[in-house]
Amino acid sequence: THSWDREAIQLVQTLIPRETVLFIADVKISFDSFRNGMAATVNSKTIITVNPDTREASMLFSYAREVAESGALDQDEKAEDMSVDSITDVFTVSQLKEKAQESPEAFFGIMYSFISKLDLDSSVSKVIRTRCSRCKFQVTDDMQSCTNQLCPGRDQGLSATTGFDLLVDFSDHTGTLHACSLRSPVAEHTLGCTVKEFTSLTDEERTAMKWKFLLERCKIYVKILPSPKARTGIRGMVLACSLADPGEVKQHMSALVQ
Amino acid sequence: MCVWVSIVVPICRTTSKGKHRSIYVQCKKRNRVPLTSAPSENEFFSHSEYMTSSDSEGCCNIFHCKCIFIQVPMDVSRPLAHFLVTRKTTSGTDKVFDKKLSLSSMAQETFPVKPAIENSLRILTAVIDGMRHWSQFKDKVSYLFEIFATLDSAVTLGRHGAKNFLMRNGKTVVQCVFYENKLPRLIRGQLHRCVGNYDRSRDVLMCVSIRPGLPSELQNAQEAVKACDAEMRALVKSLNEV
Repeated sequence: THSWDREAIQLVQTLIPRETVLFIADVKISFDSFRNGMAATVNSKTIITVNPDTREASMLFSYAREVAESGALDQDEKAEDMSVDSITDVFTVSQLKEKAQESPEAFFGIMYSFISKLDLDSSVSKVIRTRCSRCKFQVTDDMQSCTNQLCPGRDQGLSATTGFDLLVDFSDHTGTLHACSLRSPVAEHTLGCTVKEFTSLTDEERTAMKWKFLLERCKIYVKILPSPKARTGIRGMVLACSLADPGEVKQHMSALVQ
Repeated sequence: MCVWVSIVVPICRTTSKGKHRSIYVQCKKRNRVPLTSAPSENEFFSHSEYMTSSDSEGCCNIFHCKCIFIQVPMDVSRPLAHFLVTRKTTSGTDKVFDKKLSLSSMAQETFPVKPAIENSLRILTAVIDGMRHWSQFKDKVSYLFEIFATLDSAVTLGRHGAKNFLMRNGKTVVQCVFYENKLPRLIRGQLHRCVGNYDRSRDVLMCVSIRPGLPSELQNAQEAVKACDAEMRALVKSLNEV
């Protein structure tokens, strides 16, 4: 939608993307030749209701959250394209949470925390998932096409990728950051094995791999997406994770008590 | 002596039915004041609450609440409601509270909320004495401890597959127990790292992770202990304030 109305612009600027449902009534729809498509324009007759208390709004919100979590909305920002070298800010868990509350924008940081949850030895289906390459919805290999109604490629045959898809907790002396997503290809670098190699490990080998990292202090590069409606208020995405070098940790700890 | 009565204006609920929009405001004295906007005309609505009580010096607590509504569509900066609270005193009428609310100002009206104490799991690096000291707050906050200490005994087998051993920091010793299947090879007299849950009632560290420690880790641990102690002091202070 377009709006030249100052108040509407101010209102919209306060709204949080992917977390807000709008009911827009009496909006002007016309063909926009510049964008070569139909466009909605807000004018003085338009009424915008933010997060209306209706069943459809609730369903739409749930759907949007599901899509956001599948990673489909992150199409423009592929983890593998991000260079972690440019990330230098170090945070404790509580500092990350505080910063997420201050602004609705995503940000990047480094943590020197313990991994407090890493279920590598649960069933493989909880560690490795197959997703549609186009919309990132979870699929199984035997499907002919993607089951997501809104998948841009649903008319074509299924194109799926299989990769690590874990939820990990990180804890330090200030608290825990729950359910951070650790996916391929970051997971391969962290764990030191491919998906194929992992599937052929024995249960004992998987448990041993888990304990190599679980309750060990790691250096974690993370992308934080504030999500006020998520239970914890934020969503974390691991960009890199490795066992921390004690010297680096020492520097970080000294800095904390300054 | 006069008593203040303040109206807490944050909107506690809004409902929409067709073109009507209702906004409910919670007043501190627990009176709900329904404010309704009609779609097609400016409506002047006046609602008064009288609460009288007199005191020895002749002042009364009486307040009027006058609300004026503007028609939707929303103009976020135009006043949507005007709250005027006046107090009748023996000498006349005082304006106690005079606030115009617009949608853009409403968004900022919040109760100053005391931040809740972070209750998610923490992992604290500590020395044995510190671990005993900080564990007294375990009913309020949950944490695991990481300690670096020297193995001070042989490993003995107990009931239910328990492996028992002693760990030492200088003059202080703590009993440890490990239930997991795979205990790595522990060397008596060498530095080890333990992570576990300290049981205050039995004075035992229930280890979930144990392995040999590196000298570089011990150096780092001292800084980590300082940082954790600082964090715990601040936490205890805020627990006492609650």
